[in-house]
Amino acid sequence: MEKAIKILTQNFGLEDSHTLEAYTKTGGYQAVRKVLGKIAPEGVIEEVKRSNLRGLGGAGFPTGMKWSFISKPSKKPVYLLINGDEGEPGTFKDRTIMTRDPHRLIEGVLLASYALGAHTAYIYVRGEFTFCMEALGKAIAEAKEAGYLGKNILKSGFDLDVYIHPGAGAYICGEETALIESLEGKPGRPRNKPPFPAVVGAFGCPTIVNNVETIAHVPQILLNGAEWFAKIGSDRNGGTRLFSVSGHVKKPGVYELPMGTPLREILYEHAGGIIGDSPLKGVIPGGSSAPILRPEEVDVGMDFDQLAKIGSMGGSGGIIAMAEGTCMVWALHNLARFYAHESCGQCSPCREGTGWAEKVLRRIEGGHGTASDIELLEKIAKGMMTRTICPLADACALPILSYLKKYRDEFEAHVREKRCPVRPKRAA
Amino acid sequence: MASVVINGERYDVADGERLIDVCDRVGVYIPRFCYHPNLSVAGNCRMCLVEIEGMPKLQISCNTNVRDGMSVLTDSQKVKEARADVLEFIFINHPLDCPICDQAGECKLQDYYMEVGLYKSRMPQEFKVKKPRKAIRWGSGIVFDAERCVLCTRCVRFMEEVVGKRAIGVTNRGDHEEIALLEPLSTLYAGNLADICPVGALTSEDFRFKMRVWFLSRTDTICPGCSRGCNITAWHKDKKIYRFTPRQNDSVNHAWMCDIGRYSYKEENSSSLILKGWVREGSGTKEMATPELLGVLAQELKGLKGKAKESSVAALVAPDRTNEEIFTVCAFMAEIFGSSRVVLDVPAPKGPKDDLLLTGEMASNPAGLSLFAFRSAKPYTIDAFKQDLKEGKLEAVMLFGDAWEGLEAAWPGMQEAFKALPTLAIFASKRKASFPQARFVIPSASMIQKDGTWVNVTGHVQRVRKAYRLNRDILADGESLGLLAEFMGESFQVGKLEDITKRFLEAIGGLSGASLADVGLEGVSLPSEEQPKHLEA
Ligand SMILES: Cc1cc2nc3c(=O)[nH]c(=O)nc-3n(C[C@H](O)[C@H](O)[C@H](O)COP(=O)(O)O)c2cc1C
Ligand code: SF4
Ligand code: SF4
Ligand code: FES
Repeated sequence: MEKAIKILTQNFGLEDSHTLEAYTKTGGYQAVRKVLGKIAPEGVIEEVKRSNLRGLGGAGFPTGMKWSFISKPSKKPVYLLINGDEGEPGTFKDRTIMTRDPHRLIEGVLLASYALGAHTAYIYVRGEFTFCMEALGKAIAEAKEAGYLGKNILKSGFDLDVYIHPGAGAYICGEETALIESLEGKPGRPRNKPPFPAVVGAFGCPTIVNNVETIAHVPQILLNGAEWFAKIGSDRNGGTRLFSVSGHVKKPGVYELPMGTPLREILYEHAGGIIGDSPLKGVIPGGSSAPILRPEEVDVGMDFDQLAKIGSMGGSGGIIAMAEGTCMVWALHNLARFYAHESCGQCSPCREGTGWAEKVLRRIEGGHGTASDIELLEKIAKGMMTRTICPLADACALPILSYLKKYRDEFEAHVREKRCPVRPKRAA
Repeated sequence: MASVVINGERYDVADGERLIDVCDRVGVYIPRFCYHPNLSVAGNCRMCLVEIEGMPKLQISCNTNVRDGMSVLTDSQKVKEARADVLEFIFINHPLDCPICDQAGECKLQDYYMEVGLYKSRMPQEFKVKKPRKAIRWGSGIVFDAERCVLCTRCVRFMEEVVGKRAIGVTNRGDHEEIALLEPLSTLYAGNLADICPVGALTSEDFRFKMRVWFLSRTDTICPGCSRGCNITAWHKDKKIYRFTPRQNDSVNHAWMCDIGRYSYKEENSSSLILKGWVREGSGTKEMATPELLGVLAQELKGLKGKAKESSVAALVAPDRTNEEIFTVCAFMAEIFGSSRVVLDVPAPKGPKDDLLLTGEMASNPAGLSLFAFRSAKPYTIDAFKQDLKEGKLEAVMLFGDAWEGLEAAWPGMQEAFKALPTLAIFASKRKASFPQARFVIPSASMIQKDGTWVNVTGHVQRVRKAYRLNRDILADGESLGLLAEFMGESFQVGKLEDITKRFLEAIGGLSGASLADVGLEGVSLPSEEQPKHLEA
């Protein structure tokens, strides 16, 4: 194995990695000095475009392109919102950045705001993450003290204020327009698009929403150049990303690896393989919303495009491994319960479909399902897909369809035997 | 200007027009629950999905603004499947209580269900989310049923955007989401909630269980409540009105009406109306068929002929009569008595006024009355009338209309002042309008029993329509005056309604040449310089 490239996690091993001192000692805030007032905002956007940085919150949208949607000059204030809601099951990476290297995020926020012409940025942090808010709060105070935030930053004439906004523990508030509603003090319900946030976002003003990890990449991109970053990753997927690995692996944890790293390598080399060296039964490659992969599919390169090609998605980079002996009906029921609970409830297909699917799965799992229930599930999933305001309905439907396709025999066995054939003791 | 192609047909549209509005305008069918043209777009029901060329996913037509060259399919297989699926989702937790639901017959859920085809419920009863709050009285005449609600949020948006109050909200999430009353509705516009609710979740306490809607006939007319003249539909059966509901007219009332007007239908039903006229004889009264009554009145009026008849007779018109009635009364007085003594500055009764619809003038046509008064250089004012009355110049006075409370409020002792008159005749529709002093009470057709026009507070000329006539004793004022003239041995040709409307509009200026047909369903607006001036004071 060649020497691992660490961008986001390079300081995680340092004592006091969360302090301004530790960050500046290792090259922190150098990008700001290089860029602010010296490179035009358009130049910054251009550089980020060429770096192939993709949105790491879930959708993988090219970040530079997203930034170019803000039309300039804007008559209204522009807002940058940082998405630290981290609600996707199987994902636990943004919290590590916010606690262990908050200054990297703050420097990224500063650079992105400069590129966008934003003078106010909000970091929206998942409600339960009080420890992240604490660390971020301290870091913001330090940065302000040192002149990296506030008025006339480093005498460049650029002003920026950064605020922390606590969420209240709803998964849906991670969806960017629900996040905006929540920030505005309303219930977190996604908005219809158009208009897109870049045109009408927070408080009616042009707004860009980016994930914590996405933004934390920006300082190194601008310091080392777009080509350096692009070369680290795979085709059209620049740099590294943080893979949250969990489930039946020997060494669960957050691994920073280049985009495109094969899933097999992540599971068997970095995460140490499957517990008890059991055979792998299935693996979710990109957070709970990503369609499941069978063991024969784990040679896929972990980037947005390669995963999309085999019918799954890169998503949030949350990898959940399931060993042989896992009941797939139970696993899917668990997921469906989550989506039914987290559906915001506006769209009829999602509001009713997620709950319906959960009930049908409960029935099958409990040994009370009928043969037509499997078709019904399929029909429910297809019925809600692509027909709603936000992709939460798809996030529930796509896994359902993938489990049904890839593990159909197991669903059929549940119905036939009227019990769970995988974990008989659990059956009702 | 732009053009779009919908199901292969090309249509001219305004660039940026909402696709669902375009479809409504040109008659292309789009089902919907949440969209309402007078509320913001919520886009949550997902029933209005259509296929737009170049877009992989179906789009909701309520949140799509048309662009030049856009090509849309509203009836493709893909769209039909989506509709059926979405409808099934909406149905799964819905109770099957149509037989006891008051919305039956005008329920969107019921309509679409029939259309998409009946499928057997795949949701067993015991699986349904239970929302036990049924038949909850919300106050202000509204009854709520949580189980029937499809969560379209029309009610939430109506309260917030139209009334300006966050009285209704959404609680919980997912399939446990529920509409909730956050504070008392306490608004004079609550009745609209029952209208806009696409299902039977919000119903009207007043109308509940009285009548299945499919038994009712409809007449499109104007609310008689105040001078806004909200466009309404009167729902009636067997000569009885069961309810008023608003009709959309964006130049008058959008899609709303106030509860005062809404429930005023009760005053238009027979128990509130004068069904047969009478004449006072000594200390008692004697009921008479109207022609007979008019005969007696004619004799009294004829007796005045020897005297200076033009100065001994006067008429007053209340601000609730139609333009045609105002015109006819003035014409009658001029032709038969050579008199211009018609008082037209009778003030409207005062009532609530707000920024939404209520004007504070609780009569339907004060504007028509004052516009017609303004046409005359030397109007016969209420003050002149009072003076004549005081000096004992008047022998006979005829009153036309029901809305006299405004006059009485401005003229303490009015009833007393009328006492000395030898002949007082009132042509009125409502019992409450009958003057105790009147010697003659002649039943006059109420708003639902006659045709004509009114001018609203902003100068919009609108049509009232006849649905039925309760009995043969009730006559339109024109008919009564024709008979009266005949019994007096004179001739007075009332003429056709169309002609009178035309002449009235000519007389007030600004709409010369306009006809009753032009007034149509939507009404016509007077040019701004001709608009009612009586409100400026
Ligand atoms: C239901 C749902 C939940 C989401 N949750 C998160 C989240 O917790 N964190 C996040 O960064 N993005 C989340 N997203 C994605 C955001 O909508 C948005 O795409 C992202 O924050 C954009 O940032 P990026 O371009 O940097 O990835 C979620 C999306 C959906 C549909
Ligand atoms: S798809 Fe589901 S979560 Fe998303 S807006 Fe609609 S109801 Fe809410
Ligand atoms: S009560 Fe009626 S109007 Fe209100 S959300 Fe429910 S269905 Fe819609
Ligand atoms: S009418 Fe368009 S989504 Fe409800």
